[in-house]
Amino acid sequence: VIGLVADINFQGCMDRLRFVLESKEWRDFWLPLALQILTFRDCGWEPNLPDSEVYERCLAQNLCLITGNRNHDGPDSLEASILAGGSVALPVFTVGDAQRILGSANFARGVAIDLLDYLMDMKLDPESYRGLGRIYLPRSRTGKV
Amino acid sequence: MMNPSEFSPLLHDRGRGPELKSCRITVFDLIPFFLDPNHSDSQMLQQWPISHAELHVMKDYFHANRLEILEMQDGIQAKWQFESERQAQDARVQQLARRAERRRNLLCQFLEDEKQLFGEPLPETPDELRRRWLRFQEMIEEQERLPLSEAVA
Repeated sequence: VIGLVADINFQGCMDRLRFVLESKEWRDFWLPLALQILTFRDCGWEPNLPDSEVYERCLAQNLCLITGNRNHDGPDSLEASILAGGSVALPVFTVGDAQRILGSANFARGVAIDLLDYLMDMKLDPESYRGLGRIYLPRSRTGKV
Repeated sequence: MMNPSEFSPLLHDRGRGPELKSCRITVFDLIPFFLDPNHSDSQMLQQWPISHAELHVMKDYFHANRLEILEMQDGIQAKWQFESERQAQDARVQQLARRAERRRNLLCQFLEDEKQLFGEPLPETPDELRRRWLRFQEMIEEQERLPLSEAVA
C-alpha cells in the first residue's frame, strides 16, 4: 500500500486537501484508493529530520512525501537526495505555492484533484512513477505537450 | 545575512535556509504570514507546530534580515516556476498526467454505473471499497488491453 506523508511545513495544507478529498464531491473517488495520509508523528519520525533522512525513510517505507517548496537547496537537501535516489523512489509531490491552499478554496480544489489523479494512476501502476523525482502541483497546463 | 545560530540558539542553517532547530520549518515557510498584517500570532501558533518563543525568534530574524531573505525567497520562487514549466514540457510526466486524467474520467463513469447497480450512496465498508477498486482495475485493464506498465512505455 502506498501512503502519503505530509512534510512538517505542509500539515495544515494537507488537512485542507484531505477536506476536499473527503468531501461529498470527491469521496467516491478517494475512498476506494484506500491510501493513508500520514504525519511525521504518525510515522514516529522526529520533526527535525534532515531532508536526506526523510527521503531515505520514504524510500524504505514506500511512502510518497508531499511538501511545500519553501526552502533553500543545500548539499543535504531534498533536491540532492532525489538526484541520488535513482530509479526506485516514488515521487515527491511539491506544491510551489503551498500557503495559497489555505487562502483559496479554488486553488486547494485544483491541487487536490491533480493529486487524486496522480495517486489513482500510481495505485494502478506504481512502476511508472518510480524515479520521476518531483511532481509539481498543481499541474502546469500552459506548456506545449 | 546574519548566521541564524549566532542570532539565536533556537535557529540553525543546515542548507535549507534559516530553520528552527526543533522542526523542519524554515523562515521561508512563514514569510507569507509575516507579510500579511491581518495574520495574528495566535493564528500562526494554531497553524504551525511551533512555540511562542520560536515564532518570535523567526519573526525577529526575518525583520533583521528582511531584504536578503526576500531576495532568497524570490530565487526559490523563480526556481520553482522554472522547474514547473520544465515539467509541463516533460513528455513522460505529461503522458502520465494525461493517462491519470483519462482514468479519472473512466472512474467517474464506473462510479455512475455502480450507482445504477447498487444505489446511492455507495457502500463504504473496507471490503466493499476493496472490491469496488478491483472491479475498477479490471475495467481499466479491459479498456486499455495492455499491461499497465506498458501503457506509458
